[in-house]
Formats: sequence, structure tokens, C-alpha cells
Amino acid sequence: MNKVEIEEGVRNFLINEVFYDKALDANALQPTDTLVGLLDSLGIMRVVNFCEESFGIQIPDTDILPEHFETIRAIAELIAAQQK
Amino acid sequence: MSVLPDLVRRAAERWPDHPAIAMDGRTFTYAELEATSNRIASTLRARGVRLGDRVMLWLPKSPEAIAALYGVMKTGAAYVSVDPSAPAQRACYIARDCAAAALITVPARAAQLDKEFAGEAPMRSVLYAEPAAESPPIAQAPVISWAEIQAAASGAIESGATARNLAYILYTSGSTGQPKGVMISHSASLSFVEWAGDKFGVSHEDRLSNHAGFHFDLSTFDLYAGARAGATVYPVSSRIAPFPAALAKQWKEQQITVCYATPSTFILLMGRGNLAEHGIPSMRVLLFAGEVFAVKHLRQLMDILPQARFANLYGPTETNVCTWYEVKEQPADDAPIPIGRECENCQGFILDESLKLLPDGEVGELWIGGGTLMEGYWGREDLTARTLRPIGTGNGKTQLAYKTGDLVRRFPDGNLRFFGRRDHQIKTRGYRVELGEIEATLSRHQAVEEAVVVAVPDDQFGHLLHAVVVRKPQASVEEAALKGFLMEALPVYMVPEHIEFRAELPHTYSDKIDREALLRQVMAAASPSSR
Repeated sequence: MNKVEIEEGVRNFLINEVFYDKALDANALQPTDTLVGLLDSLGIMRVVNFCEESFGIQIPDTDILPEHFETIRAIAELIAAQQK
Repeated sequence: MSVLPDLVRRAAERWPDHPAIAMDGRTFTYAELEATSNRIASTLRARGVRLGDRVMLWLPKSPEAIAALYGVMKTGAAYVSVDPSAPAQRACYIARDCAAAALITVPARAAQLDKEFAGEAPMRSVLYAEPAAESPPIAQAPVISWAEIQAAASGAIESGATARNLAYILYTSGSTGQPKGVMISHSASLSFVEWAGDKFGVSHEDRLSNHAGFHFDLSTFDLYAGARAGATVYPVSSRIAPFPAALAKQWKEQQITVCYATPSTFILLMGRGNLAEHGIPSMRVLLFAGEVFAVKHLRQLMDILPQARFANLYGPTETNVCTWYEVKEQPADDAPIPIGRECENCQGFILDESLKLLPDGEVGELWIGGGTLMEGYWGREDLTARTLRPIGTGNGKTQLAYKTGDLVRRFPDGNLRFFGRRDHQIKTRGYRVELGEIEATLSRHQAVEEAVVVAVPDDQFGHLLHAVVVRKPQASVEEAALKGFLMEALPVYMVPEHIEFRAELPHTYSDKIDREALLRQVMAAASPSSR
């Protein structure tokens, strides 16, 4: 799976399972749009669980940091790094 | 002290150069906080804000936001702080409900507010409490930029406020489908702040973490007990708050000494934040409230921070903190820890349904009287009359008291223990939630015939919410669309984790919805053995 496909997978999860139809606008949640302030601690944990289950990775607690969850691109880069 | 802004004025006189607020590498000294809040007060006053008005704040945490809280109170008005992550629909409902004279926000919120107010802002002016290049208009209300505020006079203005005037209104979940505003006077807030500051020995050398939002009553300890002592308050930004590892690291770097948060916060810090590794040797007081702290997690926390004092503070928003229990030793068994004894400025009464005092040892409803009580609910005289009323306290005496809805029992050692709720109010992530408000919102959806929300107990978050919905005949709506509908109106912590559709709901013999049966069914379906 390439980076664009990972970004699309994360985006679909956020739209369908976290923000629901609030973000159904085709232009919403672009890879570099900020997610800061949109996710609470439970939301972050759901994103982490999704990434671990969908991409077969383990994200260490020490990597669950703001800089890795600021945008969809940052999340995709974290996933790619864990896959290596 | 008679009003909350006196705390900052006095701290600015005694410790002008001491940091009052430190956040994201920026610091406001007490002198700067005093001057900036005076400028905000002068700006508001020039726009007609006066004693008895309400000013709403809808903005992320920042040093400017804290200056704005004081600035509002310095005009004699009460501040109404709204959850920065709440949907615009809810924020605008609150602005209209409290008839806000002014709104303090940030330019990034302008488009949402403009759309929601539909061209007609209910307030006289909008202030932007953030240095920004642009100050976009909101629904034709006059807009004042941060640069204009900075140019205002920095001297104090006369507010005319006394201890009995309102300091702030905190909106909490309401069972009838809309949030309700709890009115707190300067006197009630100071009664709690002075008790807590003395009890936990907060001094100007302390560094207090502020985790709770300013719409949440836990924040009043951080802000005002901190200012009373001339201590430094470290607000946790929304960028850091959801990340336990980042928060634990930040606490260590900031050498936090006092922290007041929900058990959920501490559990996440231990579970995902490597708190044990960071240690936080500076921490000396750890206070928690808002929900029951599962003993197995509390023991773990006491192991990690053996040097700290631990106390369970109890009290609905309507009473501030009214009972407390210091956990001096690790609990021997897994029974929930007590909510403790009354604070010296409060009195607790355990009554039966006919409002008769019950003898010690019997379970009854807790009513609270004393100096920390709210003034009532904003614009809800009916509800105020039902929940805040004189009760007989023995020997022919009566006292004004608040009906908490909490069932408690006093044990022989004098401590009160919590035994559950009389109604459908629950706690999730420390927030108090009326299940009826979520059900009422769900019922407003055109495809929903009937909806019930049950709260599934959860060690980490207090409760997780599960909605069961019956659709109208021939109507079609899916879970995602219904959650999206809820997110337009409710804060994210009130949106159920799961929405399940059924053809009908279980009913009791008297034809009421059988909530207990429903909860049992939901819990059984969720248990690992049923998968």
C-alpha cells in the first residue's frame, strides 16, 4: 500500500467513523488540513486502534504524540514508519 | 477578598514579575495579566458592558483567554465560557439563552458563528482575544481586534460588583434536551477557592497544571486558587491534552506541583503516557473529581507518585466542591473510596423522598447547604425552585440546600459514600451528562420514532454511551448519519459510541421503557464471552 492509499484509508476512517457526515464535503479533510482540536483523547485512541488493526502495526505509546496526529499526512507517515 | 478579580490585583501588587500563566513558551506575569485584563475590561465597558451583564467566551485556551475571564468580571459582568470543541449550534444556543452582551472569540471561529447566527448576532459586540492579522466580521456585530484592545487604557475600572454578584455561568447538560446555566457568585466561588487553597497549602511557589476547560468547574480551582497564592498556572493546550505521553513529559518539564483532573486523565497518563517512567518528582498534590476512581488504578497512581497527597473532591457544579476525602494510605480492598466529609464551609443532609432527615447509616439523597451554593439556573426559575429550596435540618431549623440527586450513606467514621443516582445523569470522561438530553436530540431527527441511551460502565472513561433507536415506519437512517446529526448539536463526549437499531424497545409491566433490561442486554452483547 503506498502513501496515498494509506492517507485515503485514514481519511475514510475519520469521515465515516469519527466525524461522520460533518466532513462529507469532497474537499474536507485534505491530507494537510489540521486535526488539532478536533480529536479528544478517546478519538485519538480510536484512530490508534484503527491504524494498528488496519495496517498490521503496533504504535508504541511513546509515538502517540501531537506531531504524529496533526494531519492525515502525519498519521500516514507514522504508519509507514511503523511498517518498515 | 470580595470578588475574583481582587485575587489578580493583589497578586500583581505583591508579585508583579512572577509568572501568572505559562503556556506554549509564552508567559504572562501577574502585572501583565492585571494590565491586559484591565484593557479588556475597558474595551468591554466602552461597548456598554455593565454590572449584571453576561459575556460569552468561545475560544481555545491561551493567556489572552484567561485575561479575558478576568476582564469580563472586572466590568461587573459574568463570564459564560463555552467548550471550545462544542459545535457552533450549541455555542450559539448558549449565547442566545444567556442574552450575551458581548462575545469573546478568535478569528478562526468567525465563519462558523456567522453562519449559525444567520446574519443576526444577538450581542452588541465581538472581541477577538488573539493577536491576528485579520478580524473578520460576524453577523454585522461590531468587531474589535486584539490590536484595538491592546491600545485601551490599562488602569482599573470600577465594576460595582460585590460578592453576591454573579462571577460566571457554567452550562451543563440538561435533561430536557438543552443545556442549562448554573449561576455562581463571586462569594460561592471564593468560598471554595479559599477552602481549597488553604487545605492544600497552595503557595506562590506552586506550579499548577490546568487540564480542565474553562467551561468545566474543575478549572476554577486551577485559575483562582493559583491566583490567590500568586502561583503559576500552566494551561494544557488542546494540541497536547489528548496525548498522554506528551502531557506526562510536559508535566515533568514544567515541574508541576499541583494537579486537579478527572480520574480518566490520570488513568490515560498511566496507561498510555508512561507516567511511571517520567515520575514527576515535583508533584506534591493530586486532586481528582468528576467520577469514581477505580481503586486498582488509584493504587497504581499512588505507587508512581508516593510523595504526593491524594484527595477525592466531590461536588456538583451547583455546589462547587462540598465534600472531600484524603486518601492517606492505599485502599486495602477494591470498594470505591468514600466521597468523604463535608468541607468546613458546607453542610450535607441525607433525606428521604418526603424530605425527612435520615439517621446515619441509611441510604438517602444528599442535599447540600452552605457558602458554595449556586444562585440558581439562568432563566429557569422552575428548575431552581425544584432543586434549591429550604429543608428542615432538625430542631425546627431550616436551611437553603441543593438537591444533588446523588444517593449516599454516612458510615460510622463520618465519611459519606456514593451509592448511585436517582435519575439518568451519568459521568463520562469526567463530564456530567443527562441521558435525556441525548435522547431528546436523537428524537428531533425525522427518521427516529423512539430513542434510549444507556451508559455502560467503563473503568477508564467512567461510562461509554450506547444508543438504541427505533426508526419510524418506512424511514431509513444509518448510524453514521445519526451520529453526524448529533455532532451538529452536542459536544463530542455526548455522542454515543454505538448506535444500534431495533424494531422495538423492551418495556416493563407498567409499559415504561425497561432501561435496566436494555443495559443488561447491551452489556451482555459487548462482553468478550458473547463474541
